[in-house]
Amino acid sequence: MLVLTRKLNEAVNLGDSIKISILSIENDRVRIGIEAPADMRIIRSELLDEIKNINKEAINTDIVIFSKEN
Amino acid sequence: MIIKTRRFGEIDISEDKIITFKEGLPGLEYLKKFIIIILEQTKPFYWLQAVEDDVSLPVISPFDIDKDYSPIIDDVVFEDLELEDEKDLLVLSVAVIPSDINKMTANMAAPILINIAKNIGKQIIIEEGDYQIRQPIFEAVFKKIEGGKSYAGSDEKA
Repeated sequence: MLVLTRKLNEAVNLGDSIKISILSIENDRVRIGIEAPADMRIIRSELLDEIKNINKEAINTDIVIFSKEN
Repeated sequence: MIIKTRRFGEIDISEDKIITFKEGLPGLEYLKKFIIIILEQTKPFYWLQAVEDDVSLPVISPFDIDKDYSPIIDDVVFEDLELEDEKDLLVLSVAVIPSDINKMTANMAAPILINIAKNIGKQIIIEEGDYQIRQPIFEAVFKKIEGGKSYAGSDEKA
């Protein structure tokens, strides 16, 4: 992992098309601005992790059958 | 081609039914080819069966859960899907069905989109709106099965 230290209003460029800026720093929260191509998925990591977990859990379903009463 | 599956036995698939997911699915990135299996007995759930490995996910139409489901989808997604006609768009939600079936949920915030004319699929993540990744669906599912009796049948364990 590349680790950099930035101050308020400083930024980091990734490749040609991504720029990450530090917009505000308050207590334990940092506001980050991300400029990136529209087709790039940008997602909070914990949300992505949970979605991955859901897909993995889904494959372990027991088959569920609903049948009509006669 | 014939594939062997734990859930459905041997299935003969025609190439023109195979849906390609260029990026796979989150958490299952290695699986790029799927088919949709429809079983009367498990409706309203359908199954997304992988071709390259014996793995299948239960899926359900999000409109069966919320008839007003209207996630905001970026145009760039429709380009990825090569979608030319909105009628070619199929939307499915991944369902998690635990052994306590009262706790079944669907991922309404990360729908699977499929262009059925070109057999291209993609799972996208919707951050806006109040859609949940673990939306309880038991009640909605049972409303769909009027007068039905249900039981959860376990797969035979290998």
